[in-house]
Amino acid sequence: MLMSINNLDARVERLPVLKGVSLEVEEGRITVIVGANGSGKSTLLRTIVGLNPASGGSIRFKGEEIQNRPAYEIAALGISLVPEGRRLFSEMTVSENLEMGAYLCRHDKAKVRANLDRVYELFPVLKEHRDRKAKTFSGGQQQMITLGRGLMSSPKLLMIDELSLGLAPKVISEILEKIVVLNKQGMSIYLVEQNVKQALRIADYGYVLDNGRVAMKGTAHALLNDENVQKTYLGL
Amino acid sequence: MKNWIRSVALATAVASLAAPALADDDTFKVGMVTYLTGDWGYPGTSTKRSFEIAAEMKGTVLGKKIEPVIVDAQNPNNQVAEAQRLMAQGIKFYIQGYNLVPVPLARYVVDNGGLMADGTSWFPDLTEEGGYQNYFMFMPSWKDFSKTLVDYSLKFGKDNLGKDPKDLKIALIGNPIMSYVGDEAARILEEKGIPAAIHETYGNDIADFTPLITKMKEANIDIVIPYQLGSDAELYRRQAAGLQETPPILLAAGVGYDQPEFANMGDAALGSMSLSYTVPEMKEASAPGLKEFKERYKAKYGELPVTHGLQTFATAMAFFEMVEKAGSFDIDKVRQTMETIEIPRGQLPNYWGVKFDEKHNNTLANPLIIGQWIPGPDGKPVYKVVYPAELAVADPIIPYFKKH
Amino acid sequence: MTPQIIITLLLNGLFTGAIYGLFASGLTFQLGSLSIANFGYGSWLILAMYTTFFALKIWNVPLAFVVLVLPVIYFAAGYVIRNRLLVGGSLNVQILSTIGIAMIVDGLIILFYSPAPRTLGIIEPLIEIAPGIRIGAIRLTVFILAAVLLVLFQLFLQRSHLGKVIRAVVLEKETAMLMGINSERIIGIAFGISFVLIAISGIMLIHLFPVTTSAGSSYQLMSFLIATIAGLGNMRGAFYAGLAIGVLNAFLLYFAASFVTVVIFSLFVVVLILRSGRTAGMRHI
Repeated sequence: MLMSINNLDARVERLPVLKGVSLEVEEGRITVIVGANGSGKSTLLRTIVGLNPASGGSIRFKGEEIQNRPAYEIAALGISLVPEGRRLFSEMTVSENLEMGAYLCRHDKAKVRANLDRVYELFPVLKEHRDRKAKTFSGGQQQMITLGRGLMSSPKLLMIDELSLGLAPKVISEILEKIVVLNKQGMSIYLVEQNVKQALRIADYGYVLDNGRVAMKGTAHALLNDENVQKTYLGL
Repeated sequence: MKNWIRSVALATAVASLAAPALADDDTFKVGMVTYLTGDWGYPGTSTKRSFEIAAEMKGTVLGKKIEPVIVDAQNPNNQVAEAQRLMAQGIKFYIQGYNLVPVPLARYVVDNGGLMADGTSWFPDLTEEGGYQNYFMFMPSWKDFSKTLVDYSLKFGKDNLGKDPKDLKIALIGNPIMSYVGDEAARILEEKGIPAAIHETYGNDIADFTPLITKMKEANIDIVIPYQLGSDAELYRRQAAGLQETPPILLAAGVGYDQPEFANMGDAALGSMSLSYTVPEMKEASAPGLKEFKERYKAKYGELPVTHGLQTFATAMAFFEMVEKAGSFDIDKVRQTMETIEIPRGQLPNYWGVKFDEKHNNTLANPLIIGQWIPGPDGKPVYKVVYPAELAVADPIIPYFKKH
Repeated sequence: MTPQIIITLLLNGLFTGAIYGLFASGLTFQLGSLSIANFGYGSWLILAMYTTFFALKIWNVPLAFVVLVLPVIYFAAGYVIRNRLLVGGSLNVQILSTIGIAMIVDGLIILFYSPAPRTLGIIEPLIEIAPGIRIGAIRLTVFILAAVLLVLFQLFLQRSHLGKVIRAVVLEKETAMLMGINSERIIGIAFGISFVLIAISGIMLIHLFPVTTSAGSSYQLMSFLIATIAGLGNMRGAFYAGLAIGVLNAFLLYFAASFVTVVIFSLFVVVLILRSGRTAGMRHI
């Protein structure tokens, strides 16, 4: 098990948001968390990555307990978060953003080069405009930049928070295709998504978060065919 | 280790609490509120030290040891509060130290039953208002100062530049803090029909005098009268010297131009004159006690006192004598003595005489003297009195600066 | 009012302005880029001036030594202040802490250096660049040094790895941590570097001007004015604004010296009104 979370509690500004969340992320899989707005999905990612304190429970990554460690330490362990809202270094160019993404392997020039090539291969449009400031790109392209940035550190686990926000369906599909490609190449991916249908379509396993708790879990296929899920989240 | 330190701290605290209590009625306490830190810390400290030396030299008054009680006001907003503290300790007699805002302090002291001998303030507010019986002003007012500035300037212009006063081009430049001096001089010049060619009060944080220096050059100024404080005086002189553009005569309104730091610029300091009430570098024979005062000060502090130090010293010595003559520490008796006493000129260390008129202004405080920076024995510039002759230790060189 | 005079005023204004611009750019970096309200800026500047004076005149330390050592000490001071005293503090904490530190600095200056004003008393050699137009050699040198320093700093921020990391942290502090960057340490380093700017400004300033214990607040006020006019965080803008104010100052002094303060403050108010809301909260680097 790559990552296992046990009974995790977390507060945001004193309000309890996560109430005893338990889940597992298997290596080499695409694991998805879906849920309504305010269910705690983003808080879960932020707590894993060290940007939010955990008030109870544990998070284990490759056997090690990582809850409440500083974010830059957790990044060094191999967890890369592609944050909600993209959070690009807007005034910096594409290549500078990617360079920052490679901070942890900055001393290994060959590795950085290889990672850079992989990102440009996945997203050729970025290579073409790599000296343009990040803020000048469209929403979909910005998502590519932020994804690429997340890949630059050769992470063991790539976590992506709400990648579909503000993007057109066609663009979302394009990017999700790349996610699948990455996964086929061996990357473990942990996706938090509001767009339940598209997310479950590419996932292996999924969790439904409701009001800070895991309400349902199962294979993506099972969840897609579940009546409750269909009614509540798929509008059927 | 910690306990040891704690005990020492405790013991020190107890001792310092006990100390004032021990020294109570056996001494003649005289208070001074001045500035020992901040901008005016330097001249203020000079007045503190001078007062202490006066107390040392006189020793006792009517059998009681003189005890100067000197506090640091730090900034003008605090001075009344500090005076309050001293009054609460029962101190009734006060000497004014270096203070650019002396009137509120004097007012407070006198209003609350104290008596102040003021030898460093040039503001005649209290004497002009009247009703401040326990206030005695040893110096002539700034209005007299401005008038003397103008009189001497015109005299030098006539005698040394060979020009008719009406043809003299005069520049008045200075700092807002001293602007009233410049304004008064400008007004007097206007009255005489010789309006100043340039009259500029610049902002407080001026960094470059080149525009003003250039302007004065363009206007062919004969005499410049700066009313500046220490740091802008220094900057102006250095820049003017660098540009080799100084009007032939420079006669400054005291303060800024007689600080020892002025000599740091080397030869550029030479030739600047400034008008002062009294200056330690004058003929010692004309001022009994001056030599000893300077020697004591130098021995203790490694440098000579500034003007205000001398003023404070002389005022204190005169005051001690007056209390001695009154024969009593009663305020009314002291006041009566001060109202009638007459000390002729040439007896006090600052050369002044003392005789108060009915407003408590000192009628024997003149003449105002002029000092000039001239080459010293070791090559460094020194500031010496050059005018009037009976107080001068060197001859003035007027005009000093060449016109280009 | 000859052309020579106009050019002389212009050049002198530019050179004096360059100095204003230099120390304003340090403040704008602290306040605008790092979002640290350093109310002790002026005190640290005059501490550098006093220390340089004492080093050169009284302790007989060569200038080269001062130039090498003082900036290092200031870097350490900046880092320690940010990462030990200010870390995690709200704006109020920052303001109070930096004021408190400033008071300690002021007190130390008076204790060790005594409250007397100090000056190196250097008469500037003049360079005649054209008939009738003379400029001070030190002023010119300082202008060139200030410009070079700022260009180097910009290059550092734009091209070097550490510079990029600092820019990233300034833009997105949390996100930078996701990349493994210890943002707090980086901000401490950046603050330390801005303190180096203060040290160098101080070393240069004492060669031209006297220093008094009260000079700190007027330098700080001027820095704040210039930084605000240029937009907080805009270092290049602060330098240009400094130049502009220097020139404005020079001409005003010639024509209407008593209006200098009024005009410059009015300008400040006008700029504030025009800008209100536009650059508020923008992260500039």
